[in-house]
Amino acid sequence: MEQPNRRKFLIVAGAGAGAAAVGVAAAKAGLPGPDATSTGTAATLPAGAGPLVAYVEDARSGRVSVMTGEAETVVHDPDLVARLSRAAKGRTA
Amino acid sequence: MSSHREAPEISKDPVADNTDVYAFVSPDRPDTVTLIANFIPLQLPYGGPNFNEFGDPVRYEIHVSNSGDARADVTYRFRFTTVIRNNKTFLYNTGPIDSIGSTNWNRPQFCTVTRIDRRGRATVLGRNLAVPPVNVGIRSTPRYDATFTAAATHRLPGGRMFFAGQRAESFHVDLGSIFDLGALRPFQAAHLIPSAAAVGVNGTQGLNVHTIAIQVPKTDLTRDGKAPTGVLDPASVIGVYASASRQKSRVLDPDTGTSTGFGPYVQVSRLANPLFNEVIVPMAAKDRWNASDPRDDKDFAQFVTKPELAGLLPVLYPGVFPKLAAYPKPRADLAAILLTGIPAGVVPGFQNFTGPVQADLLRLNLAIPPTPAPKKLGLIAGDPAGFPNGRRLLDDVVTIELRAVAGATIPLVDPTFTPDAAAGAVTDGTDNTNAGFTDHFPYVGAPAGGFQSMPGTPAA
Repeated sequence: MEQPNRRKFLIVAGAGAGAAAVGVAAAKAGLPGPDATSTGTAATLPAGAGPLVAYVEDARSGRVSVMTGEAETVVHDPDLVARLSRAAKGRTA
Repeated sequence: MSSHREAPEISKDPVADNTDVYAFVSPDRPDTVTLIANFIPLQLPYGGPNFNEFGDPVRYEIHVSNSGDARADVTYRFRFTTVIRNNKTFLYNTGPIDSIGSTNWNRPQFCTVTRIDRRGRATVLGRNLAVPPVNVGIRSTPRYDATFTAAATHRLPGGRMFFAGQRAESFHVDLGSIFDLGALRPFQAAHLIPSAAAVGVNGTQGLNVHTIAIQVPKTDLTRDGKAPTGVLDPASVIGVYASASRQKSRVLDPDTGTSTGFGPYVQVSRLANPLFNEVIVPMAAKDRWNASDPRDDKDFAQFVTKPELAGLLPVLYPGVFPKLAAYPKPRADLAAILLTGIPAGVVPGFQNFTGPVQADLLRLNLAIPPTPAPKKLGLIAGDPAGFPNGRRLLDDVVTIELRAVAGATIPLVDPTFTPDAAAGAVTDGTDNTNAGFTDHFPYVGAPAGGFQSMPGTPAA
């Protein structure tokens, strides 16, 4: 894209092209990329593992809500909840 | 206001704040229906350099229920993608934007429109549809309406039309007066704290909103896929509402200053009948109402049948509403207007009843043709093509609902009741003072320009 200059401000420029293509490129550029710090544990992860959010509303219930992409999975795993709770307090899981 | 900043949570999230919904048989294409949902309230036209725009993370939707259970049978979903063309400037535009494709526009938006049926089957109707820039001013967006409105009006498959972008606010109301202890300037001499009567002041004058408008054949919306012809046929009535949703979890990235959403979409705003959440639902329940579905509105029916505003009017205007103050029954008239539609037999030759399920939906009888000379007070003025039969841009919904709450519509369901004289006269005294409506899609007037608009006058 051209930088602003006096001539451009004073003379109405012509229409641009390829706006849709720019949109697609930008959308792809916004996708999260691989995390270099995770390569050491990649072998233990399932294929396609990406960023996720785990939410425990009530630790006593043993339920953890796992959100990734547009999906949410609620699992009943008291041990996982206990480990997350210990991690939240800075202790080794 | 209709639904501008009407609940505590959504007032902090204007990009997702649904302000008004309109649904009407298109006056110039009566075989179609126009559905309009406005978002992002109270936009100052000169609010740069980061002007108002649709939110990429927000899922905007307009829903249509046609089977009487208040569930969405047809949903139109609108998702936006924003592009930054030049990373090295703070400018919205680096020269005049003389066309919708101008590369001088540094932050264009594009929309993908999807139709989803009750079974969840999705059909993309259009991808990367250009959204116009905001109206910056005479140098940046010259000849705004001529340059951008038609260019941003897209023909979609099946005879559908689509537009999304900044427009003039169509809703009018005396904000400054109404929120000052329910004052109505034309009648404020009768207020508990009186002052001389005055003309109404349109609080939305000079302000813009962001409009999503889609025009579809009637056959796109009915349960049997046919265009209705019988006004009294239950299949002629649809219920409409709009919503905005965000992903359940949001993680802020301190390295980029941006955020990423995770999880399913959760509704954060919804709207059908104007002013429902605004003046019917108590403040403590407004956020829950925004997150809930219309089919569960029986939980809020108590606030319709005994509206707080109907109790306030006799207090704020002593001696003006004695009959309203003495009316002991639940407000079946308001329940019909807002929650079920008006059954056949109440208004001769009219009905927009969707069944017993109580739900805040904007109900439109598709078999009623557009009125050649529409009346802004709609059905209560004898114009069956106007609110509460759907809603047109010109309908004066503040006055209509004020009069209804004041008791003017009680005789529809209770002929023994005679309303107070004031119930048929009360109004906030405003009219639309923004750009006029057009006679063709998208009908909403062009937005006020930033350079051309002047700030208001402060007074204390």
